[in-house]
Amino acid sequence: MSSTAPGHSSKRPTGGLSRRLFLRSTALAGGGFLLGYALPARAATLTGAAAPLPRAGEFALTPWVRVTPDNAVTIIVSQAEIGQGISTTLPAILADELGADWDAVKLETAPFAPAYRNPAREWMFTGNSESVESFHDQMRKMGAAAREMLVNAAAARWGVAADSCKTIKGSVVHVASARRAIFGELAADAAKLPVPASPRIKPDSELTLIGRPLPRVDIGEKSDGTARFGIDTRIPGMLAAAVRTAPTLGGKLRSVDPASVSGMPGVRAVVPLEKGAAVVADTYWQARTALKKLALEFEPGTDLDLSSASLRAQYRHALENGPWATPVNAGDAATALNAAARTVAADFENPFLAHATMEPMNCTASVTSDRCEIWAPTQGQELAFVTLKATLGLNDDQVQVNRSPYVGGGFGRRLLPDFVVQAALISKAAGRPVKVIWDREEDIRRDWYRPATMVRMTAGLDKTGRPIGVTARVVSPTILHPVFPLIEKVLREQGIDPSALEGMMESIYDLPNRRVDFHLFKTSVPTSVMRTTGYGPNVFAIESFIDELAHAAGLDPYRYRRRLLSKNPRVLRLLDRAAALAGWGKPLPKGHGRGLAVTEAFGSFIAQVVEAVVSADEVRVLRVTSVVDCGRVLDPGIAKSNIECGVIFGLSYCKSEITFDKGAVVQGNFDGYELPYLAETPELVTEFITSGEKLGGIGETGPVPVAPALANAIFAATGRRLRAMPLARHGLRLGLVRPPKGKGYA
Amino acid sequence: MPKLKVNGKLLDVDADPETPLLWIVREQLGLTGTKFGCGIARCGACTLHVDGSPVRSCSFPLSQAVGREITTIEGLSENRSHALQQAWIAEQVPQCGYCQSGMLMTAVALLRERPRPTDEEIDFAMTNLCRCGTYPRIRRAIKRASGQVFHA
Amino acid sequence: MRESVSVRFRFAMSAVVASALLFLTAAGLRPQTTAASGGASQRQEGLEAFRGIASVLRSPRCLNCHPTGNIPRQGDDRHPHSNLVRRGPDGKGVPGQVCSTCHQAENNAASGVPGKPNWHLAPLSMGWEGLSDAQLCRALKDPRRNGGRDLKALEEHIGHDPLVAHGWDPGGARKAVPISHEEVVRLTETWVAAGGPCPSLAVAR
Repeated sequence: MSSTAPGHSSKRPTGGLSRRLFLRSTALAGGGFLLGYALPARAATLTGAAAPLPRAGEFALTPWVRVTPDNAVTIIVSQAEIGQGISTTLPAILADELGADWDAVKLETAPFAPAYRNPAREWMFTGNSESVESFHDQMRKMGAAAREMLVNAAAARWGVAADSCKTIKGSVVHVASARRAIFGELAADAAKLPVPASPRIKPDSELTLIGRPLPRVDIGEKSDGTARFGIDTRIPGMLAAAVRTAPTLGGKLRSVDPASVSGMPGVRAVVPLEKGAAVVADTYWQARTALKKLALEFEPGTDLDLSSASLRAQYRHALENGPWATPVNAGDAATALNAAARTVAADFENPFLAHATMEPMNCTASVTSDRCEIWAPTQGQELAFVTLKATLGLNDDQVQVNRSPYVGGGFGRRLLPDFVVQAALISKAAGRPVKVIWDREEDIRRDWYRPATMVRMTAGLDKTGRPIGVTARVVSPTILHPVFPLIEKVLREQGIDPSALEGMMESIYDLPNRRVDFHLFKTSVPTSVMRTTGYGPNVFAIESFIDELAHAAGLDPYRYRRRLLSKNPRVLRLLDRAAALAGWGKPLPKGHGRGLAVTEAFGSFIAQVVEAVVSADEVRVLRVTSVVDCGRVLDPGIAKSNIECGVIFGLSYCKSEITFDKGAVVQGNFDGYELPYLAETPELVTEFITSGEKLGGIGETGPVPVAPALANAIFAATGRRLRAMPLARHGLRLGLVRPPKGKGYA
Repeated sequence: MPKLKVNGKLLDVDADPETPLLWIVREQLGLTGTKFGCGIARCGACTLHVDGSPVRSCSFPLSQAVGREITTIEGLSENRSHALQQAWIAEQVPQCGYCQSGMLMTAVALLRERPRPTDEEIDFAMTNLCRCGTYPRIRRAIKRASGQVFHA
Repeated sequence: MRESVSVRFRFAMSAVVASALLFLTAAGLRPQTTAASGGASQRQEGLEAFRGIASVLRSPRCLNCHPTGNIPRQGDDRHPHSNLVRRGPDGKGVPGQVCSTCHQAENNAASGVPGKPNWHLAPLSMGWEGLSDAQLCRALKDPRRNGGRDLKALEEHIGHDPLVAHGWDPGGARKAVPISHEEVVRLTETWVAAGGPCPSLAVAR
């Protein structure tokens, strides 16, 4: 993914000196920059929230495209921009098909409305790494439909055949006569035409945007402080609120004394909640100051003996005793194990993890007796909508859910409606619009964690060391239920959570005798979706275990996997490329090791090699090489950034965990739940293979192999096998990639 | 009523002198580019400049800001023209973007003292937290803005 | 012949001792026995007082900013300072992350970050980690290491320096220095009056 051309920069208004520096450095730059050819000078512009219906003077051509007579073309953005670049890619697909002038396109954020539901799920949300996969065809279709409406309007006006016209950069052109009309001129007429049910989709060869790295639409605003996140929402007449809920799991409000803060500057109301209380004031700081003084008592939680140790004991009990559902039973694993020359078994553990989005939970709500409108950095517009309706007893047309233009990190946390409903209840009680902000302590302690899991892997090996039977026992709480209540039936009747089984249901390897047992673990710890969902924890077990099998067989882990991929050329190609790119097999200094992991995740395939050096208590992760096959890459820049940022996110899964004591979460802020530093970040090498297969997801794929590949690297370096993360469990910590040498630093 | 000099303008501020400067700029002054991330000076999302020096504004009370020159991300340049902002755009640095105001203000402070920072100097200056992991692009952008080639 | 050798030897030795005494006096390290007429008992009081002073210097509040390397420490458990903080060129942090990025002129209740005016690290010469009482005493008194201070100046520093005063007003849940400031001032006076005696280096402390 390297290139040297300056691309669009020459049109930027920079100061003279900085521009010369910029061009010179680009000419010299090696592998840094993404562009290889001329690109649009600018990206489309996000201009704000879309009104539920077109404004006066705006003509809608499908729910996705609005055009004004002066040729302002607006594309509606349904998916939450949480940093994954979706607010660039999906509108660009539509704009490409439509033939709009991408530079001039405006983007507006969709409120919740059925038109913007994920077509594969019939539900409006952003998550599961599937926005591109789910919306791609619809974006093509909607772009084509709007194009045909405009073309038909022009053709009728000119008295020519529709197929003699095409769209080019915001105009319809009659090729033969060179007559042209801008979209704006045609919009009123076009909007009267029926939306074509099966518009002609352009051949990919006619696309000019998709397949190239586009400048992302959100980058400029995120570089000058103008990007608006949920926490930046401003509504006229708005007050602010600070909240505190019971520290113990299941704890509730016992008593609150508003008089303890009456008279404090700016305080307008104290709102009791089921689990705590909120102070509403003119400013957030006034609310927070009062909250610290508020006389507040909690009922102790339901499980005061709960601790990390007690949880581990419960998990262990389940791991030994079940009961089990058996979602996979291919061949006859039991017989295969009995016939094996040798068996290998290992238990793996995954920790509870916090989302810790950099923007803490917040929501602005304006609620009266017959109307509720909220503005939030949400990924789950529809779930918020239905939950608000139910909680407040309102109808569809009385509730409006607005997603803020930007979301400061999602990772699945923002799919949950809890912080939205809380804000609505506070606004309703206060009788005013209120912006509720959780401080970091509230954010970490009221999270819905990535669940801890335990996995027991067992394999029977034949004389050559090849696995002839593999069993897996997975103990995990639910992931899906809090964000997808309908799954309750499956949980209850089948005893499985499909998300917690990701990575286990199928294997990339040739393993004809394979059994997976699942125990749905019940716990009062709130758990739900977090980036990598079930893949992360399961692949940690699987890819660490494959390495253990390789070691038992006395074979190199790469060669061992090759044997098992002989029937899977797609993944074999991926693995071979990753190994070659990472220099697998080249000698390393003492204390250094390379570790490998390869897997399917979210419909894509990824092979990763981690190179690390281990000293007494320090693990320095030097380099991570990733090769990804997601079928086809729609935007090379966005794809690469998602994978690479994902690798570092995956490293964070090896650095910290959430622990419990006396029924409460121990950590509260970044002093207890530490994130990786820039100085701990490895060199990243990333490549994509275009297989032409079905589009797969890449938002959550990068982090999945990191933990097992790192554990395997540590084993290669030291002979020490880590069967759990984070590193601190083993007296290890992440070290600085470059040991300091300078005066004042070393 | 105390006056604060923010981005070159003298502004009235009516608030408790103990209020962290972070919330003054965000709420009293409506400059929401500076972000709240942790409140304990660990994440750096609230970084702005006081007399040109980087400060985590969640830990800096209004009373100490009076008489000083405050610069927020909004005051860094017109039209994103600062070399670092241009580099941030060229390298497509941000993912979710929430940490980036603080990152940029820290990077600006670094470049002021070290116009061509080494990797080591970048390592120990850029301790702002990025949950999305944009760190490698941040390093590249700093090198680009300082006229240095980035060696992968 | 042996006797003349031994006389010359003794003469040579006393010359060595004399020049050593001269050297030590020039360096300010010569044990000052003449100032205190109380002699042995005052010296003993001074030594006792120094033990108390040493316990203060070793408390986390002081030791955290008197590291022997480039990494300050934090907290009562003296863990390495968060955020990859380093000494930098002049003890005030590194370009991009100076001490004043977080530490201000006063303790900050909102963030819990401690503060005092001119927050910075003591220079490397005033690194006290791992020193015995005897070594600490000598380090404290050595003007080449203590910022050119004589005993009176040391008294002034301990008594009135605002950053030193932080030890008794650390903010948050941090434990203050175990001996009160008034008591430390008194101990310092006692020690200085006794001529600032140091425990013997020969005794392992």
